[in-house]
Amino acid sequence: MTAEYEIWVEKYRPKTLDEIVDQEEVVARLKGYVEQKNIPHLLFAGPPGTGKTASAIALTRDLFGENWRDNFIEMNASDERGIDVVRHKIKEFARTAPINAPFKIIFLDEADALTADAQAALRRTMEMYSKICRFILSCNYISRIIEPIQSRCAVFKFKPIPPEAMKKRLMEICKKEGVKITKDGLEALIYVSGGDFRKAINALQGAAALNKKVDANAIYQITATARPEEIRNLLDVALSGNFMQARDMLDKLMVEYGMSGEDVVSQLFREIVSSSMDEKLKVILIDRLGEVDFRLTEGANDRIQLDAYLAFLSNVGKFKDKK
Amino acid sequence: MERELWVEKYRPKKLEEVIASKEVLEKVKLWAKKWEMGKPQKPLLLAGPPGVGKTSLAHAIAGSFGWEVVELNASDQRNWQIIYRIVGESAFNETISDEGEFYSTKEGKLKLIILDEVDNIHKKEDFGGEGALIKLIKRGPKQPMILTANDPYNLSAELRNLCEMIQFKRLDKRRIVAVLERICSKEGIKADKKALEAIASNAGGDLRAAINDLQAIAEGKKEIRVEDVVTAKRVKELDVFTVMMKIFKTKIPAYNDVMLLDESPEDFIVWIDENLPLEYKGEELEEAYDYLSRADIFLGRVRRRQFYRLWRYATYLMSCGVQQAKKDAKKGFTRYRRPIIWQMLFQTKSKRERLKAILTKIGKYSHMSRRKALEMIPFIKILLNQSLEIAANVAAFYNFSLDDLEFLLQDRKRAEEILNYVREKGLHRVEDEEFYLRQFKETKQEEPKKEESLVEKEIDNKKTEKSESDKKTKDKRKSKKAVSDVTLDKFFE
Repeated sequence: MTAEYEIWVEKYRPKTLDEIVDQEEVVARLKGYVEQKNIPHLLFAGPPGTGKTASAIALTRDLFGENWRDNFIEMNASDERGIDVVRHKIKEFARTAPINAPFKIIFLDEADALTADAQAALRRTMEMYSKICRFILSCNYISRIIEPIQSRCAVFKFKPIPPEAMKKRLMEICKKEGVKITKDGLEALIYVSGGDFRKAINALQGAAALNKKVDANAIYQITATARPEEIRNLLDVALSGNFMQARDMLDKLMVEYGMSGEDVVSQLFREIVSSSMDEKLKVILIDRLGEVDFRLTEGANDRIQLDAYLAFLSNVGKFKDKK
Repeated sequence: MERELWVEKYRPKKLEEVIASKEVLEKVKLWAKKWEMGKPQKPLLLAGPPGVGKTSLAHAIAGSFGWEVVELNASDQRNWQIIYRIVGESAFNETISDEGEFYSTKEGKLKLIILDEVDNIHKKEDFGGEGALIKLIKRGPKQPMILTANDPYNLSAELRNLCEMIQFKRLDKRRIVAVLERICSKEGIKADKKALEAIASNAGGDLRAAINDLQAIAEGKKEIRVEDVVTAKRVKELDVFTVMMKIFKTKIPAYNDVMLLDESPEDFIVWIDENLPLEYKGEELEEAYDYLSRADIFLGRVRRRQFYRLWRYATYLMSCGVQQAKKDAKKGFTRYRRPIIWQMLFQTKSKRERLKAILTKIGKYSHMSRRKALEMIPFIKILLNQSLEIAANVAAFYNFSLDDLEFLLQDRKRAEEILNYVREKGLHRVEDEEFYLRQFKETKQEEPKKEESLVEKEIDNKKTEKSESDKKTKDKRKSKKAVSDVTLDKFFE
């Protein structure tokens, strides 16, 4: 028996281009390729959860039919971002002949995570094997893709999904799954997802699993659980001046939960902004956090940058108490 | 994962368990017995290199004779006056002191005062510490006292002469191996003798180092082979400690010392990071960390662009920068430690690998990077805690193994239940079905006979009941094919 799609993001992932929500322009152009049975290299740009991956898969499926998987490889540049991957893994696949098809498709997700060197290497691969292999690159920010690659691709801009379209789709899902959702629940879902379909559907499913009726409370609750509360504790402990304990907590987050420095900084940002502390203090903390974030991109060891921030927090915290 | 350090867990409790020469043990026993008989003895001075069992011996004496212990580790009490007061009171008050329970003497029991690393007190303190200690001993303490030192010749001759000195030598390899073997058998670990020998010779006569290395290597394993012994060079670390002491305690520029270290700046900065908060607090800590942070930026630039020239700025900032961030030179002794992060990374390796494997599966089947997959985990956990059917479908969809499920649920039994359900119902992913089906089709066209065995084999894999009658198997196969067709049609409609 086939494992049923219990995960709604999978269950409701568009299977064909027709099912892609609210990207009419993109879909119309992509359908044109399906008719011609050919595609150039493509570059999909847009915020997360707007249908880039889904479009790539749906396009491939529409092109190749049942055996689409034989000629489709998917790689995530954020998992393997070095130049070696481009030189070996991608090239290896690019040079092998397609099976019962005129060409193969390499879908390179989060291509903006590739280093500039790796992108430059990719450019050559794209050219050399263009007869038998097409690339679909996806990225959040088109500016992070080097010009020469941009110019070799047909660029598709995915726009954020407007709340109304999102609501409509979410209502459909609720209906099919027999989920009761309140109006404020729906609003909350739109709010917490920030236009990201994946986030919205995940939150909906999580809330529906734990509540009979999904209201705003249920949604906020589920998104709060999904956010490690360790970050909040970390912030509190550091501000109380206990550097050593804060550092132990940080180690745990990074080593055991596998969070990167970037993840920790992003969550700290969210936590500080939404916390109830003095607004002036918030500004000071965020200002410094920005510096840490920048240094992460320049530095070698995330832990040292974050330890430095904790030292700052544990010192700032003293003044906070005095005020 | 075990939190307790084996050096603590297996620290000898009684004299018999101590690794030391017969003479030493006899001498010590006699010393203690005389105390028991009410004859005060000279304090013992246990001298020798680190990790040979000086402190362990002291504790074991107390253990064997049922004495209370007051230990003064020079590292946690920097103020000599405190030491003087506490030692003085412990040594002379036979009744309950004003200090409260901790320092009180149980009726009739002796109290052993252990002064660890006296040579370090002597070296670093200039409040006439040694003089005070000498004065104290000359008054003839009413309680047994043991001093330990790495280098007794760092102490004045007067102090040495007031004590009964016992010299410890570096332990030989055989003895260390014997201890390691005993620990392994108690921990239920199968260990290759060659591996233990490698650990032992690497430790250079330091039993503590050997046990620590053993624990780091053995963590989470049932078996240790020679290949597992990653040889950490113990000798090197001594230099690291000296240089750190210079950086943290003084303002004498340590840039050249760091340059001479056999440790890359990328590693040395981790040492500094680990130990800095043991010395600096508050504003000093913040400022010093700012220098470390900037040193790290240079390290990042070196790594990205191979500009090794920039290492000198990193090195300068992590040494002199940190040095100048303090207001005054620091006094006292601080026990520095190996970066915990390295050990943590080592110990949680299997855990992280498990998580990575899970994230890779989620990423693969849900088309996303591992980082995004991490965001899915809380939701997947919720689903795995729903009905067995839902959980099993999720498990089958992501192709989770038993270990994966156990990791996510922290519940082996539930993980097994879920997986059993998956097997019973023959749940599997769509791609797998496609694959089976295509094979089925192909073999049908080419070699119709082979089809039987192929499908049967596959069914056998899916269903565990092999002993079913032929007819039943065939029926099942039929119905299975029907199901396949329906789902595939739906899938590609």
